[in-house]
Amino acid sequence: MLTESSLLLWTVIILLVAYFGVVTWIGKKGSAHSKSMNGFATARGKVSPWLVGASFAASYSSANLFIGVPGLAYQHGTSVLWYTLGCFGVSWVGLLIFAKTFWRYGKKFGRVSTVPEWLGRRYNSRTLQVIVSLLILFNVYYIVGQNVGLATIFETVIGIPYFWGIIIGVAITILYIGLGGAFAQMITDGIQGLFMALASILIFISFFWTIGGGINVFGELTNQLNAVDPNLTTFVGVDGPYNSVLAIMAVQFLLFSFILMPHLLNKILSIETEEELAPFTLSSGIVLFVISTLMVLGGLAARVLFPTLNSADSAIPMYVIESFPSIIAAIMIVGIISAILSSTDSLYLGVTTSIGNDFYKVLAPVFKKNISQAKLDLQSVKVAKGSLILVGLLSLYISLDRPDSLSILIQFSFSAIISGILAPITLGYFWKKATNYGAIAAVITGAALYVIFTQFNVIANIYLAMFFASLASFIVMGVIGLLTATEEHEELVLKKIS
Amino acid sequence: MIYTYLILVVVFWIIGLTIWNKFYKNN
Repeated sequence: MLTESSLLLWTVIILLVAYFGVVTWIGKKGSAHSKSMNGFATARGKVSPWLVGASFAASYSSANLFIGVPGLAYQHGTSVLWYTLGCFGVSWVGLLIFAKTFWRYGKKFGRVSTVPEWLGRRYNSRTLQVIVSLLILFNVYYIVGQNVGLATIFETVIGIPYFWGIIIGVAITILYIGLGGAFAQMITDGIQGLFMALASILIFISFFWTIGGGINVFGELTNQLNAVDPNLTTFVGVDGPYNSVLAIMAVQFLLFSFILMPHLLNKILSIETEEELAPFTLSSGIVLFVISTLMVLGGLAARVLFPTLNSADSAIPMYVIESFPSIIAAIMIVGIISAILSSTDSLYLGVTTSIGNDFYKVLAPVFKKNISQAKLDLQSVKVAKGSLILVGLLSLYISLDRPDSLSILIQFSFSAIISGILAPITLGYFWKKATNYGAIAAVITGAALYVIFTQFNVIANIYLAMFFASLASFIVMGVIGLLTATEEHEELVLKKIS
Repeated sequence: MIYTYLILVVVFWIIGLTIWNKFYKNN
């Protein structure tokens, strides 16, 4: 006779194997497609825009949203809801504002497959392309956060020690990516987004029996949180990162610009025609809404039900296995694991594509003068695929030192990237005097200041640090642009913005 | 705060759909 926990374990294992089987099958169908650099990176034009939208939302939502942010809610209470509100509302509005112009520039440049390449074309600067591809290496910390998320799930659900959880996490991630390629990712991420939406709705429905109170279930949840600690139900946090109105505003600024993350913008570049942007943006909004706004409430419920967890990040895995029958819990756990994988694969793809496409492909001709274009393209794909293992091992090494909060680590990594690229992308949209010198200075200023602010504790709140670093980056780019712009630079801006 | 949150989510839906209608639908 199976016990409850071994039933859960075996269901999780069987479902994971089945899921990997489906990915392999789809990957085989798409393998011919990922031989060229462009096919490897974006799977352009082969996937329905509705599914690309779901895949955008699935890549957006990582261990940060499913494990980390509910963990913050478990610790700090309802003030964390400002974060997930921004994840849906502000980010979606950001996508709607940025998508069309970014896509049009991509079209104007011909086949552009990555953000560093987009910036390199916009400013006609290979130096900028190489610098931004190096900045994207900060995503290794983002990947570390995903590893920690997987290890936390294995630890909570199956009881595997953290060290082995990390090793297993990295191994299945590399396996998962090796099975697919961009084509398989786009499809499995899309399916996974829908799968995750279902899990989020189940969490929402479960409050009716775990918290109770009928139609006034959230009033009941608020009362019970209040009984645990009155500080958990305030609009502005008493402690934690959301402890001032200014910090909450800075969070919205961060989430507005979050969609400029290279692994997300790459999705826009895979849309074939301008008409297809409509279903893509609508589908992104719908799926993003469901999977980003509901899960965090599970972290609040966990605080009421299990007030003494060792690690706040284990709030959601704990809530799931305690609130649902084993089979349903197993499906949801695999859903969360696949949700983490769907972000991690996009991140790995973004990092390795940048190493191949924006670093190797740009620098190799400098050292090997007479290499043919076809050979260079083939070598770049090889370098991209080879760097996958290196990035995986590096992330494994860093993961072994467990971070206090998964969310804060992940948010550090993407804030560093955004602080660097926000000014060059947004000013590049419409400002005639945006120049390559200004853009290079802005990337270095934004990223360096963010790291200095946070590492030397100049500005303790990570959101405010990001806001001020970005502001400095805009100012630097503005001043240098005004000083260096010539007619040649002004020709590069998109003429018709209707 | 939770109810405020849910109301604000709906408000953002309205803002997002308004932008979508204006710039993305039917073109």
